[in-house]
Order: sequence, then structure tokens, then C-alpha cells
Amino acid sequence: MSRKSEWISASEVGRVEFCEKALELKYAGASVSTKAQAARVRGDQAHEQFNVQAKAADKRCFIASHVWGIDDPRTECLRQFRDTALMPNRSTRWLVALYYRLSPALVTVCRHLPIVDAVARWLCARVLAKLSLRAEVPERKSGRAK
Amino acid sequence: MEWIRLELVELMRSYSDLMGGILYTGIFLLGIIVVYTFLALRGPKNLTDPTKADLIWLDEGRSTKPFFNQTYKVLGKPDAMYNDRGYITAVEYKSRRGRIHASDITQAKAAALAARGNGYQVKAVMVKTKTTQQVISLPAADTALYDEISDAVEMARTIKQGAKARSAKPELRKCASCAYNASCSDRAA
Repeated sequence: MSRKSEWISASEVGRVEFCEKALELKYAGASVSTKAQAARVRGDQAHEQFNVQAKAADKRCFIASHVWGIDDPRTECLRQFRDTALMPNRSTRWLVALYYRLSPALVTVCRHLPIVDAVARWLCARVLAKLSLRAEVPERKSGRAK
Repeated sequence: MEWIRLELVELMRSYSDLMGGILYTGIFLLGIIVVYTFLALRGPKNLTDPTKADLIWLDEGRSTKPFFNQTYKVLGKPDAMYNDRGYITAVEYKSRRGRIHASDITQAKAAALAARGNGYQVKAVMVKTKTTQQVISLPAADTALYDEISDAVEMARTIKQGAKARSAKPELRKCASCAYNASCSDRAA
């Protein structure tokens, strides 16, 4: 297990490039100026606006987003599965790429054919149930270990 | 002898069923590969404005977990990632106006390295302020990408572990925007 202090965030790397002293002061616990706090709030708002614009132009047609909605916790669960289980492996990465290619067409079909839509919903629910089961098993094991 | 003949016929039939199944599965998989390759290769890639491509990842705040690169112990998340037929570009958005600083590019590269740790083969970064934007191609190898930012990463790690900064870089504009300027003894007046 690596020590926490070995991990460096991208923003810390950027801050060092900006000014090493600034990072030193941050770790020394120096207080953030009120002007900077206000700037941070403005920055967060601008990022939210950027996200809204990006989502508006979002061409991802996740079937899960179609079935449950883009911000649904179940959709988020599948996204996490993509990022943690599928994307790190070369053997499964192509599945994600293939999914991105085919899902827009599938969603269009789902919108026009209720029977395909029903099958898609059933499949999404099955996948989610499998994932929930996978997540529960280690929890149960760790519960027993305690 | 009749039962042996019947058994053999049955065996041959199940064998041909099996071979037929394998053949149809193979044709189906080949079809998928052909369609995928066609979709992946069609049309030119838009390298000047990657945000016109498909959005594949978006940082939606605290609920979005960062990426971790276990090899280089770098974590982070770009603001968004776009995929133009296999050409992934990570976007670093800065909410200010004005030019792009070297520190913005370094931060974007570090975030791209972290994303590579989770399997996103980021090939370029785009740094975007409210008034300007710049696209930078990244080296294909993670080692080469790390080499470009290794000085900053190692310095940040050293400072995090308690060492003093080698030197401050006081500049009027930088110090004015620094969050810690009130506590800094080296700040530009």
C-alpha cells in the first residue's frame, strides 16, 4: 500500500509550476485570502456553466441514460463500473469503444420500437442487479472478517 | 451393430451443429468488427476543436471520482474528455480571461497522465480560458509524458513531504491572483 503523501494531484503539479512557495504555504496551513475564496466560488460557477454547455452538446447516447436519465444514481453506477472495471483492462476497453459506436443507433431504435425499449430496460436492470450483487459479496466477506 | 451406426450418426450431427454454431458466431463477430472499423475510420478527425467530437467523460464536481495512475502516483481529473474516433482529447477549463500559462498546461498534462492510468488513451490536451484555447499533442508513451512534467511532480512531492520550496517566483500579476499572498513573505509588492 503506497503512502498517501506519495500521491500528487494534477492541481498540485500545476500549482508548483505556478509558484512553489504557494504549495509550501498551502501545506503549512496558510489561510486562503477572502479575495481568493470569492474567486473560487466564481470559478465553481463558471465550471458548472461549462458542464451545462458540454452536456447540451453531449452526443453520448448511453442506453442507461435513455432508460433512467443522465443524472440517475443507477446510470452513475454503470459509469463507475465502466471507469473502474472495463477501462483499465485492454481486453475490455474495446467493448466500451464498441458500445459508444453502437449505442446512438440502439437508442434511436429504442425510441421507435417499444419492444426493443422494453428489452433494453430489462437488460439494463439485469446488468445493474449483477453489479449490485458483485458489490455486496465483498461487503459480506469483510463483514464476516470483522 | 445398428446402435453403433446410430450413435455415430448422432455424434456427427452434434458435431456439425457445433461447427455450424461456431461458424455463425464467427461470422457475427466478424460483422461487428467490420461495422466498428468502418465507423471508427470514416471521416477526418477534427483536431482544431476537439469539443465538436463525442463527449466521453465529464467532471461533474465532487461526485466524480478522480483518476489514479498507480505507476507515477499522480491523481487528477480533466474537466472533460472528447473522443474523435479513437483520438481522445482531455480539456482543462480555466474560468478566467486571458492567456494560457505554463502551469495550466502542466496541470492538464498531469490530469491526462492520471486518466491514462484508468485506460483512457489521451492523445492531446486542450487548455481553454474564456478568451483563448490551445491544443497540445501528447507523446504516445506514458514515460515520455511523465518526463515532460517530472520536475514539477517531484517538486510537489518533496514539498508535500515537508521540504521547503527552492524559490518563490514573485510576479505582480501572479501574486495578485495567489490564494496565499497574505501569508507570503516573498510576494511582489
